[in-house]
Amino acid sequence: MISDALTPVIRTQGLTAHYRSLLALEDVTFTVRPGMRVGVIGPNGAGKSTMLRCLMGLIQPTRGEVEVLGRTPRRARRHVGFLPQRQEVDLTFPARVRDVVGMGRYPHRGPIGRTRPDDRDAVERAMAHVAIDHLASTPLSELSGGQQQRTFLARALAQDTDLLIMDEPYANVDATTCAMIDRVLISLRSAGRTAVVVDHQLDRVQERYDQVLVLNTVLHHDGTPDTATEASVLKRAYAGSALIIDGDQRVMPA
Amino acid sequence: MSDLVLAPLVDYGFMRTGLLAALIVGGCCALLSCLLVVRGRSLLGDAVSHSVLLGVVIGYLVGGEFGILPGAMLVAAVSGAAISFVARRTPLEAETAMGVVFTPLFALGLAIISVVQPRGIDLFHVLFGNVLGVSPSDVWLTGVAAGLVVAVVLVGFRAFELWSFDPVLAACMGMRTGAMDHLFTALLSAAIVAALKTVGLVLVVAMLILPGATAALVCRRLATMMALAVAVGMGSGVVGLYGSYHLDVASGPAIVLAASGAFVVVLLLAPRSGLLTGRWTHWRLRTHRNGAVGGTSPTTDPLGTDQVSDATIRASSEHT
Repeated sequence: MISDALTPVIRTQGLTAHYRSLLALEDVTFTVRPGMRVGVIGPNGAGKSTMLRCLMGLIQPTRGEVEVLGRTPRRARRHVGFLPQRQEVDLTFPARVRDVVGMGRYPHRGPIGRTRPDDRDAVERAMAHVAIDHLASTPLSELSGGQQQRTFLARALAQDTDLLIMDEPYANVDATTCAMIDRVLISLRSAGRTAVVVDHQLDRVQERYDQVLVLNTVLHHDGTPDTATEASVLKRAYAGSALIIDGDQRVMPA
Repeated sequence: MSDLVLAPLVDYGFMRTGLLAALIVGGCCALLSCLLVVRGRSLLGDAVSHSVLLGVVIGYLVGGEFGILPGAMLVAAVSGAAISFVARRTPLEAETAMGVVFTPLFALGLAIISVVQPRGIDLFHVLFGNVLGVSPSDVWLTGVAAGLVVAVVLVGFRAFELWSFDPVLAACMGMRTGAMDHLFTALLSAAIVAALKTVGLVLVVAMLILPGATAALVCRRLATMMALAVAVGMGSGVVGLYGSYHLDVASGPAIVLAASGAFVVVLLLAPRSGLLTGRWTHWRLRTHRNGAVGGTSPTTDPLGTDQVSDATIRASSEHT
């Protein structure tokens, strides 16, 4: 383990970043402690993906500091697992489920390393964890959307990292897969690992996360799910986009 | 039969060297064609091969025969870098960026040839190949260039697979994807140099697309796809060379036509997805079903029957 309970897993200070030439993040400061399930919510174009890219060292911040697992994002990225948005991946690529999950072992194996028994074990464990072990030899292109998402989740788990970053894992998947992702988040927390998850399902943040960041270029809120989904917070962050707020002060995007 | 196949090899040394060159080129280009096809970047081969002309000319003028490979790789690397620079820094699409970069380099190569008229470069042969004129020393150049390509792709297979499938994740995992892009362009240029004497700069584009495209029709893993593509590439090298010998056709076109033939055959007859085989399965299941149930005639309920047989086909293909 790289992180102990005292070092923050993520620490940003005044993080400001541009996506192409647009200001995407401004003066964002927050800290994530080990073992937290962190939800990141905010309207489209709020800079959520830019923030994830900063955490993974793919974008250099214009100003401010980012520290991941006590080092710079570029140095930390071998120790960060990543689940990309499904539509960003070529789903017709010729690969079986086992091949895709095996790609998660790349940092352990290196560009020319051979597959070792612990790589194989990690792949089998990850597939079993999300119940796709029976599909191991099925080509990616023949899976349902939910099964594909679970394959990518298994790949991220096979990376075997202390921090897992997921970009909209709940988007367009079936209920079984949603429940599976929920369970994976819980098991990560009990193993002391941290997950940062971009999510659009505002009505579910209460049960899914321990800490919620409400983002719309600036960080509108950093706290518990209870306080994050208060109507006043969301109204400010989602200004302009319509919200349906029911009697229990629970909020859904319109 | 042995007269057709063995006699030319026994009688003519140029057929032996030609066959060796065709096998090496077919296999090496096929390997890279898989990566081009799965990345949806097939036209990159076109762009690099045109730029390579300039490298060949400059390399030859500076270092003679031995300057060709380094010259080609250098100019290819420069053109690859220029393409990504134009694509990143301008609003132009990647395809346009390729066109903007490779056409002037090609033109510059042609211009230099027209001025200098170097003795060792026969423009027609450089563009369209002349496998039967391959000398043993050419086979060495071909072998070294192709060996380099095959070794790098096989040793770095995992890296190339990840880089093709999910470059963002690859970058997250610490892979220097920009460096991989350049490495790949350099490998392409080496393969193109290897193919210079056999199929030439223009037709090598076909060998950098057809074998991979053929294999992509049937394969479900990158590794098997590469194996099949290499078989298709080498097979068309052999078939094309004999076609060229017996029918008196230029060797480059003959090899490319053989590869196109392989593509068409697989397109029509692939086990599950072939245009003809798919029809045949469909037809057989439908008649079988109608016969077994003994009732639902297509004329009374065409829609319903079609739906049933479609479902059956889907179910049956899941088991194969």
